[in-house]
Amino acid sequence: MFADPRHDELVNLAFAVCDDAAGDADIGRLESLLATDPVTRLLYLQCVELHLELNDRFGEARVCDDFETRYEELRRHFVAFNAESSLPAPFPPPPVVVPPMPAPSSLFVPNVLLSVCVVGAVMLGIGIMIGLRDAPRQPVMATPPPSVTKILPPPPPQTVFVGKIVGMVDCKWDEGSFAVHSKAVALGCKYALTSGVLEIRYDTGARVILQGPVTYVVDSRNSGVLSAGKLTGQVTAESARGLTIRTPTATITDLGTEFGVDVRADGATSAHVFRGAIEVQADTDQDSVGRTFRLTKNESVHVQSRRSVIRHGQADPAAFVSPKQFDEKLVLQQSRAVRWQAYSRRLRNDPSLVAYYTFELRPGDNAVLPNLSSVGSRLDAEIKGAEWVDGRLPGKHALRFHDVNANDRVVLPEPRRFNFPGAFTVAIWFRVERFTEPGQALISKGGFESWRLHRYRETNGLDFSTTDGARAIGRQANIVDGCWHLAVAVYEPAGDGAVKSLYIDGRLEAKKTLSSIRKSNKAVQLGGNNPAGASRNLHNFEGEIDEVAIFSRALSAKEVAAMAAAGDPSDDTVVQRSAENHGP
Amino acid sequence: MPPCPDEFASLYIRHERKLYRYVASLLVCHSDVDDLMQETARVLWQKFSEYRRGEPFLPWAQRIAYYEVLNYCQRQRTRWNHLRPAVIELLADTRAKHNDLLEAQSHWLGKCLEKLPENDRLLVKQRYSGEGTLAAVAGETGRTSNALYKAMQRIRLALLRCVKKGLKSEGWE
Repeated sequence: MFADPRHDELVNLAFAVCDDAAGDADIGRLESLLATDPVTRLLYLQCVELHLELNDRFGEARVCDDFETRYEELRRHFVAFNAESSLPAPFPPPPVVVPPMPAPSSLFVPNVLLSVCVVGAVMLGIGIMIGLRDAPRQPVMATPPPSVTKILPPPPPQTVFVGKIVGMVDCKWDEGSFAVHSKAVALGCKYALTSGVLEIRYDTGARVILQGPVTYVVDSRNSGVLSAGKLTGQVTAESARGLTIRTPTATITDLGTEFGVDVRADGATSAHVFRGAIEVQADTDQDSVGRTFRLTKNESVHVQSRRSVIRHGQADPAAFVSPKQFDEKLVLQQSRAVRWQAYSRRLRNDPSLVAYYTFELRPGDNAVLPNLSSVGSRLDAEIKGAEWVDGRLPGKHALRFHDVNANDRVVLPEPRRFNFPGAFTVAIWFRVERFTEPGQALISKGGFESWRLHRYRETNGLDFSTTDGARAIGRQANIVDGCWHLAVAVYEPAGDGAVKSLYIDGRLEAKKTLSSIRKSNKAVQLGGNNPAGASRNLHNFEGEIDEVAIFSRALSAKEVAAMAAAGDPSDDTVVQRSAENHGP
Repeated sequence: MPPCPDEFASLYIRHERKLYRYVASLLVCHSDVDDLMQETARVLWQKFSEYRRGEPFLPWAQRIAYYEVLNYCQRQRTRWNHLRPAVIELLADTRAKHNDLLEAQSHWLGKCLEKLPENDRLLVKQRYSGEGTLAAVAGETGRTSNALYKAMQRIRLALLRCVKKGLKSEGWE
């Protein structure tokens, strides 16, 4: 029984609602109770949340669904959705349905009829929203003006798929862009890379290889707009002939060839022909508007903005990634992924590996970070707010922590398990483009109480900070570059005290002696430093994390180097040598 | 030019479950949630060009879902099984203030389920698994629906108390 008898009544009503077993009088009474105070409303929300959580845990429908399947389902739906703009088909429902309590059969409505009714009703609702969207919340639901209901909803955006992405190598997405999840390329899709290489293969057969930094928008079935950066175009099929690249100062049309286009920050465009021929139309000022050049093998032209300087010269193939080079990069990247997978499998057999998160998505539940150590699902971590994105290797995933105010974090269960009596090691792959607050934490156990790996004050260095304040600061390695890095913190008792070491990318950056580390009952958190219930926005991380391993022993320098080598998404020669020689 | 559907689908599916919970918490008729989610997804897609890149997707989607819930209930106001808009607004405000607590609750629910007696845990599983209407469970177990209903109320109340206790131990309540 609750202290307030109304709360007993509320809980009964809440669960009746969850079971669709509440009658009209029940709803009326529930409304009265919910209107009383915030405590009552919170209790109601807790009841509903409990019911939904049980649905998620035991509902079979969710278990069979997985992220990729659902994603493809939604994507396919867009095509049908846009093809039926006069009466859009209902969106595929989420795969979550646990049958409610027995409901009166009179409530059954055939799906099609229900869909039509709902769509019609939503059109009415959208009209209301359009008319009142700038109004304060409360007045919105006051009786809407009758005339507003005549406003039609905006037409659904038309989506046309015109090609696919056949490969990406070391891509880093520009802010405001997004990490490509699907291979499908639709009209209007913008690809903005700060680094890396990506190939778009149009359905016509045309190949466009983008080299970061680059910004490219697909604007038709066989063309695109290159506003900055470089691309290589290749047309071998007859159907791809006429591939057109528009830039701020020129329009390049393929005539059956391989060519490169380079657009500088000021819009100046250089076009180079490596094979075959292209046509370049300069779009500068009055002197040269409409001037068209035909270029053949080994020729280039430079169209300068503003001053309309046009120079002819020799093609520079070395300045562009050729289709052959790109194919080689793809093969190399795949081999890196295979190498890491082999290393990862071996690592899981290490008995000292307490927790191991490779950031694999669990089918049907993207709020859980599965643990792959022998401890098993007991150490599955809970994702709070962080967003799944592509990881550092093909097929891998990562979590993006948005910013200090988003309060994104991942919480590991069983805090006491991570109070190690002796040595321990924490390894974490991460990337960060900017630090915005002092002390932003990659991983933390109770912050100052025990240990954390975080930004040192306002520098670009990392700090393995511990209870007694003895810092080990990795100042030397530049980690704020948007590239993937491995940080490994090693703690090892020695004599009356202990030694802690910090490695960045397999190299020892700092080593310090200290007295000891205190235990903490606080949970280990990724991307945050906030104990539950504490004040918010404290040292939250902004960046991405894609692998975490925690050991109950001190890894050797050799083992750390092997880990860095095996998981490095960019290095080639060192990686192979080290991984082969120093596996776990 | 239309917004990129890949981007939308990727964002939507990543936040779909949380959005579902948000909508379900504001509707007392849970059998309406799936329909409303379909419509909310459609409106989100139509308004996706207004979404600012880099902005957290879930709060943006929840804002739109909130108005969808209000509109839906307004349209259904002849039926009594919907809350009044004023009450929905109060609930939405409370939810916004206690979002972290509600998320933390799921962690404790797992622990509390482990503490349940075996028979109770089995009943919960039967109720919430695929064919788990109480009528179906009653048919399987030979108990009456009414008895099972009372048992479920008791078990869920026990889980709620356990969860609240766990949250309190962490300083949430």
